[in-house]
Amino acid sequence: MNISEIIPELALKSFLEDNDVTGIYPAGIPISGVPSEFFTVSMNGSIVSESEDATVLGCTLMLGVYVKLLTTNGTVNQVREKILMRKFSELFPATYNYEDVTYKFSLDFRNLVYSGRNLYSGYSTKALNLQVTIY
Amino acid sequence: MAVGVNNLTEYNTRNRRLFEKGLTEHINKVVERDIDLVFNIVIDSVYNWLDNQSFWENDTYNLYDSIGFGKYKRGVLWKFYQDKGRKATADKKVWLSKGNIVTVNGFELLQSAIGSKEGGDFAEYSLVLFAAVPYAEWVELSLGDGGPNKRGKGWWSDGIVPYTRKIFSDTVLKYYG
Repeated sequence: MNISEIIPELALKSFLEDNDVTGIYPAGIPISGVPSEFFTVSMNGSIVSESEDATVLGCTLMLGVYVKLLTTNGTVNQVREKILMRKFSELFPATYNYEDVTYKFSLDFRNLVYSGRNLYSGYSTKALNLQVTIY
Repeated sequence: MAVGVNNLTEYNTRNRRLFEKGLTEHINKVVERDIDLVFNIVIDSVYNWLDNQSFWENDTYNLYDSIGFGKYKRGVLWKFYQDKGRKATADKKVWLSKGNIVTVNGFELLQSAIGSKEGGDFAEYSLVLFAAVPYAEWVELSLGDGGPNKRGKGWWSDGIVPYTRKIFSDTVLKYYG
């Protein structure tokens, strides 16, 4: 397994799409046509070897969950946020094969990296870390 | 005799593992909590400093909004702070040379925090201060017009950075010195 050929963001995107989660942006948010809820996937830190022979790798991905604020009064759409969080809690932990590489994803619900409405205009955000084991 | 040596070796190995496990749990639960306490005091103090700073007067609050902290653990961002409520009422558009327009908002700041190598390697736990607006450096160096008094000059190198360092040192000495 060549570390330079591993792209965990795309593996997670593929896994989420296989589970009917759409609107995933691994390379930044587009300027126009942004849906009412969308997700960003970014590397958080670097890929490291977890075994001496580098057959097991590890990294952290950050999952950003963006939900459009309510048009009626501009407040956070907590109902949609809860539905999405519940869906993610059901999806993870998960093991997924992508391009002949196995990824084990586990979402860290104990720690929100960010929760608020200041990151993207008109949307609320929850950012979570995903631990990834690659082998 | 050989059996006795083997048993002693196993005994020592087991004890070492128990000690390492206990030490790791102690670091994760106790030390990390103390480090987080220091980081939070520093962050609160710096935001108070920002509210009362005298280096510049806020026109749009976009420079203020762009200042944030990243808490890193082994190079991984585990908490991100931007501000305590967005103060700017609108994104600021900055016209760069050749007609390029940059819209300043917190999302860029988060991307900067995530992509930064500064949080990665220099410590087990790191607190990194960010200012993400593209004109922050211009204000610092007074390269723009800056008004007649060159307001904001040195806000980073003479203002927020030394203040952050001082608060960090004072807090560590106060609680753990």
